[in-house]
Amino acid sequence: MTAQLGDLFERVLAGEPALGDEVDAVFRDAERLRRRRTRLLLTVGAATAGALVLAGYLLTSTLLPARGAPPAAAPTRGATPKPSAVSDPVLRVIAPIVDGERMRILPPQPERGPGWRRYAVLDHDGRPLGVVEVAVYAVPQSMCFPAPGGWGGCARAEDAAGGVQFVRYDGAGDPQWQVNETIARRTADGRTVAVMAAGERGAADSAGRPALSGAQVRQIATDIRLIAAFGPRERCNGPAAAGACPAFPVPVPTTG
Amino acid sequence: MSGDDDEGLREFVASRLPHLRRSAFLMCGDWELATELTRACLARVVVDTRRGAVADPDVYAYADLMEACRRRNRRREHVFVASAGAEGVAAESILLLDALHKLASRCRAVLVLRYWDGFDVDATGAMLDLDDDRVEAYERAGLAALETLLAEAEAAVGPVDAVAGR
Repeated sequence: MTAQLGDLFERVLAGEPALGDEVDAVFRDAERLRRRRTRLLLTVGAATAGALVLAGYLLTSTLLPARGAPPAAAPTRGATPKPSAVSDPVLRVIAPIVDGERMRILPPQPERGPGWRRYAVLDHDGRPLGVVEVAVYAVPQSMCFPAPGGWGGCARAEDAAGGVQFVRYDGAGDPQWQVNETIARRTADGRTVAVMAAGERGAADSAGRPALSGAQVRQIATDIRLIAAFGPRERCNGPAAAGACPAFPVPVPTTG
Repeated sequence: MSGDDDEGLREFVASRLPHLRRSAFLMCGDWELATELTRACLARVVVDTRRGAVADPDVYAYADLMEACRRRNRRREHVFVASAGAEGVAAESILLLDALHKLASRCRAVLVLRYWDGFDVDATGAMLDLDDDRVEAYERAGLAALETLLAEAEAAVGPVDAVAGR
């Protein structure tokens, strides 16, 4: 068998077709193959370089702080600092103003309830600078803005852009608790917000100043995005209710 | 790449192409496919030799060709595909190709390299990445299986001169 296998193979190959210009075709194929490999090499090289650049960018942008940005604040009160770009529509209105003052804002626990939000403000060393509290109310169309100082009567409201009326109550706290507050009402439907920036509580000579000035609090309160940042049916039920709203130095009169 | 080297490559391709194509045909049973595989194999030999990546062009070429045939053979549908314009083929050729087709691809490659291309056990092992013992084992198994298959074919279709000559 073994001796004849070669002969058998020889007979099988009897109908072999002519070669033609196969040698030239081999060299043409070789040139095509070389070009294809070169292209592949260049593509892989470019993709690798692109991946390295992207990885480097992501790494540096993740690990290095942004230029000019304050160092990250140390977490306090068991809360985790959040950057301004959080998915909280209310915070999205407030954060740019706080960040602009080289401070950090974050939600402490408890941070929110129906119709209200509370945020802690820290300086760039992580020291607490008090809180910013926001609450939204549904009030009667006949609501009058309380007069400052609790003297009774109605305060004269000022007009802001977007059909908003407001009254500022700067320094409305007591000597142990410095507060800037603004109440603003959307005239179209009566939805009303109260925004308060309160400093740290303490004795008269150690009470902290509010993190935001009265003008900044007003700017936040009259921002037409603020009311829209709450749910359409969301509203505060007053400090007496369960899950209570924050107590403001000048409360919003919810009964008209 | 110097002109002398290129000339040497051209001579290598011209001298090896016919024999490689026949080996490919024995592996796949199709002249057109054998031509295509041989051309692609030699193109790789040319490109890789030019960039200095080939130590022994013969070993490289046969190893590459056998691997290409093994991969293509997985999708094989026909025992024999004649070349265009061929006048027909003897029955024993079909029987032999059929018997080869029924062997495991490693067995078939060992038989082709040993009994058609005339390589020794060492060279065959280098081309198929097998040690000598494995080559000899494949060779024994392949020969035995081929003999059985040819005998069965002979019993089924009657004596065939080439096979009956044993």
